[in-house]
Amino acid sequence: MFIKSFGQQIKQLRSERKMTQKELAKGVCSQAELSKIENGKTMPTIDLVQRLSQKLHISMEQLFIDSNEIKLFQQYDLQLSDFSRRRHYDEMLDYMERLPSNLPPSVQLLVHYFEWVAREGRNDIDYRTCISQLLRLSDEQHMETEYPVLYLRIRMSVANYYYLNAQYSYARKIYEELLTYDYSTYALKKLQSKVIYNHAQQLYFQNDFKTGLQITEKGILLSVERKDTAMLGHFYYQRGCFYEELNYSEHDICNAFTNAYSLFTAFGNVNHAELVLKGKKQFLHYQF
Amino acid sequence: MDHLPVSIGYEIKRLRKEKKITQAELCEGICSQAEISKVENGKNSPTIDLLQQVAKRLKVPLSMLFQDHLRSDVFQAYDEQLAEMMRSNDYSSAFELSESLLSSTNYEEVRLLAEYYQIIIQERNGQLHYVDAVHSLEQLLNQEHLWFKSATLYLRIQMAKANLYVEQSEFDLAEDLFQQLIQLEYETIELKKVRIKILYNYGQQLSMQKKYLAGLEITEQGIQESLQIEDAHFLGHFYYQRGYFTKKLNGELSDIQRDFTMAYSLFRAFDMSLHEKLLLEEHAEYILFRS
Repeated sequence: MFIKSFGQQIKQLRSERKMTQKELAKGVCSQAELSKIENGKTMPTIDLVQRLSQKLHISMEQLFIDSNEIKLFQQYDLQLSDFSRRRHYDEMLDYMERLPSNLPPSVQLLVHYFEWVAREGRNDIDYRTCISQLLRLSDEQHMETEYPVLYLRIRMSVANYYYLNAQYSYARKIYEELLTYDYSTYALKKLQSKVIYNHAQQLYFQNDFKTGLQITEKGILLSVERKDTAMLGHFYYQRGCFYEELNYSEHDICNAFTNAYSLFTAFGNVNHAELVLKGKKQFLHYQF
Repeated sequence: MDHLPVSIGYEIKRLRKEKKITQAELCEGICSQAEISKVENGKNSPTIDLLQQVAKRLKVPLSMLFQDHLRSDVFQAYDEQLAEMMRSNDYSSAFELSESLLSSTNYEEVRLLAEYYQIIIQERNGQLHYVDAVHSLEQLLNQEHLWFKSATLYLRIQMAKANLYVEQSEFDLAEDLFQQLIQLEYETIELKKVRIKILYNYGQQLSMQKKYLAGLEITEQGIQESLQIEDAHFLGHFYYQRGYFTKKLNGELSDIQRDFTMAYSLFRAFDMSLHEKLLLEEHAEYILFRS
């Protein structure tokens, strides 16, 4: 499977660069061998792959990223997430039935995931069934290794179902497990901030302000260290809310909300800036 | 020396240790421990199939094994050392280090880095006329496929050239170069970050030339691109620049206040105290609050 898609990748890059097999093989290997590689019949060593990558002007790292699959995944993710956000579950299931059958594996898993979400949303199944199906899906052997982003999303959504149905201790357990996960790539690091944010958010609604604040502070530290703007405004807002509940000084509370407000504005997040303005106006040092 | 097996071996070992797995655990059902040991030490050139299984066991995408940490660790370590020496004007130590790198390193990228520093050092020392320095930098840039081998280094050298132009008040040449640089394709996140730095430097150059309107445009672009990749490295700087340009162009007071205040919040939030201090020295009257 892997060898085959790797060969296709080489073939595609070669044709994008308008090279013939003969041209690409020159100085690297025989044309017959290249043909075998492209058809997934031979397993090249990395030295050979490196020479190919140099002729194709692409880094080794890029060579092993299937950009088609990534694009398709993003495209379907956008569409399905949109149905889900708007709770258009009937439409979503209709849409799924009309999907082509030859979708790459990561997209298929994504569709499975949303299928359970839609069925639960439509009350075809209850939340417990949905959770057990999602857990089963995320426990599939290759999921955690090959599609870690999807794995984490499914876990988060399980925690969310527990939470929505007042099973707080289960939700918390999942988040605690997710906090110790090894977020090694760029995409995973992005997701890590969301995990932290959601976890703190749930702790807030469970009135565990002390633990929640600790989690939020962790999120702030990580965002600052990575110079990542994605969640920092939200974390400052959370900090303000926790400060309020924990009776911090007026000064500290004002600073937290004012920072959240300026950061949301600076990050171009108009909606959230408005929300702070509406809900926490009495704490703001100023407004734009 | 063939570099690729060495760097992949280094990467496998690095990830394995990070994840606290033994060699025996890593290779179980994949290959013998003797073989994995050879792979880790760069003595065997593995097939991509073996690598895929190893990547799976390490729970990382295969592409990650090709991230050349050995090379980039070595590169970064020397780069930081040299940059620090330059900052403290210790040119003789910097030159000595670059000399020893040139005679000892196996990495082409590190060699080019050393050559690049030598040119900059000699220009600052007055040993090399600025025209010759530009010429030498251009020769480095003419290395075959430098853009493909190390886009980061390519852009570094181009930016050094632009800086020399700006220092000599050759603004038109600098501007041509900046224009040329922003036309390139920046595909990875890492390169997009370099591009944002280029936009910032370009904005600074336009500011020196008092081309505030053109500067405003570049700054806007910098803001948009920083927001797109959610990167805060230069976002505070851009709001500072925009506030400054707007002020120079006699824009609305509230716009100027908003920009300087956002810059202030960003410098505070991201622990950039040096920039915060500068901002307070120059434009304190526009900042709407202090935290």
